[in-house]
Amino acid sequence: MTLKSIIFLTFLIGLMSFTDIKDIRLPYPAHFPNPTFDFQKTPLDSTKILLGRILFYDPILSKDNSISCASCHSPFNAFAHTDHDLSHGIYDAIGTRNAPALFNLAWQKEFMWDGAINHIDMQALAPISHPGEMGSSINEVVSALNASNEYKELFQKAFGEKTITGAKVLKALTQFQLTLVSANAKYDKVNMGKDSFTLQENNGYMLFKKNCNTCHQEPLFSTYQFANNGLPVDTTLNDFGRWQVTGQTKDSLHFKIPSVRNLSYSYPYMHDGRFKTLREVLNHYTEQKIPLTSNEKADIIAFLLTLNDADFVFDKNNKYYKKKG
Amino acid sequence: MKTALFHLFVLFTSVTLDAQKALSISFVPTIDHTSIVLDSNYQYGDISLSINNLKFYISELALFNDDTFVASIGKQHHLFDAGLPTSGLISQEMTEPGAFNNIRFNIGIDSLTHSAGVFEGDLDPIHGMYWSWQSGYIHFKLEGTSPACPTRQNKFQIHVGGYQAPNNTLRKIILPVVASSSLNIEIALDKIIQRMFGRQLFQMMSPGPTAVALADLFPQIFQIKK
Repeated sequence: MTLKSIIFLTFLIGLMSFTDIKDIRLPYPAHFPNPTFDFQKTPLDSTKILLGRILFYDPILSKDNSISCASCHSPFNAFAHTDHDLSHGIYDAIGTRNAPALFNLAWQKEFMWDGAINHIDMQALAPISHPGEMGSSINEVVSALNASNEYKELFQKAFGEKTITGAKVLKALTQFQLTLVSANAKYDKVNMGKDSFTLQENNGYMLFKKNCNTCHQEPLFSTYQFANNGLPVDTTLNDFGRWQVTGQTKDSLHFKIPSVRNLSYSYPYMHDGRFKTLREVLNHYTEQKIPLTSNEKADIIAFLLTLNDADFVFDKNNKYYKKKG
Repeated sequence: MKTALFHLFVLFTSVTLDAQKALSISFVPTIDHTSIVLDSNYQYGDISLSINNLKFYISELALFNDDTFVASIGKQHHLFDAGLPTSGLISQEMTEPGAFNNIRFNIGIDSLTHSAGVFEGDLDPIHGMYWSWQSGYIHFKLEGTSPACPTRQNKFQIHVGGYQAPNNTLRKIILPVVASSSLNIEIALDKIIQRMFGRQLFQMMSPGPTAVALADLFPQIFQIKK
């Protein structure tokens, strides 16, 4: 091999790894709709994704360095906070809502249980600033990060600039969170012709399509609209949901419809985590005049369990990433 | 060193202004036609007050001849900050400005920008002009103290925002001008202060009808300073 061809080969390998790094296409199966996030305007970039992932697990985002995003959004719980009805914060503060599971965010336009946030970039500002969550501010976060040479280097790699801004912090968090795609549950495998439902699962699927699919529309298993599902207000919280955002009484007790993917990993359920089991949830809906027999409920639950996506929950690319230092 | 740099900057800009034909527009906040200085005490009628923060967004500043667009001035979104004297000056180099007889701009951020994610520079949420708990820029922020405020530490905090109907607080300002290479725009805060004290409105931090009514004053407080 001549020196020239070695140089050329090195160049080629370099080029390949470069194209590998940039322009990552969000992976999702054919039975998924197109994402609502504008990837043409903001393409994915592996260095930004990695930076966002590091930030997601770093308690530097909180006032006393105690709480990270992952504190309430753990990868092993489909990025929810299993077994905690209400979210936690600094100084053992308890919030007013259940920390929602995070996946398929690229298909969502409004965030939080009441849709108060209009873009994924802006979402992190809420927990960072909330006194009962991270109790900090984007300014404090930026100052803390700017004091870290390691972060300066990471931002330099991701954005080509050492100076860390609020916009860059938020953009990096967005990039990581967009990659949280849950699309490989048994349901998806059945859709792709790689698996098949049992009789009970299939019966549950038919019942689901008849009774649940209007709000929990497949394949994302939510329309991501807002609805009042008939839960009485918890008078210890007096949370009226979307009404607090729009100021319109018609939105009273409307909450964002959650996806019913990954339910085994993300209990308890509902905006205030009031139900621990799926049976309680289904009992609530039969009280809301959705007629289901006990056997039918069992079948629906069997189907719901096919929406658990272990590949997503245990994906090593989503886990805590240790920085060098 | 900093002052030396600043002088160099002034020298440099004034040279380029001379050479290049530039138009500069300055924004000067006043009370009773006196320029305000942050953290100083003002006596306004029987009200005594001190302002410690005044910020607002000036968007889409442009020259017009009647209703015909002539030229844009500066960035699309500009954050005025009374604590940063340089932020009150917006200038634009131009080869042929053409005739113009009015200038137009918005106070606030348009709804399209509002829903398009995060931006660098003047729109970075780091400037304290973005609500964290409910998406939206604060279009106009006025904070200070007055012994007449029955609030904690006698503070008043007026944050005007809201971009969705019916609570949109973006306001368009149109000011007739005589064409000149330098224009001074006075922001007479008097009407806002009268509204605050007249209606005991000392804390406003969310979109709604009260914010809309206050925003309706914006077109009345901007005027060309002769």
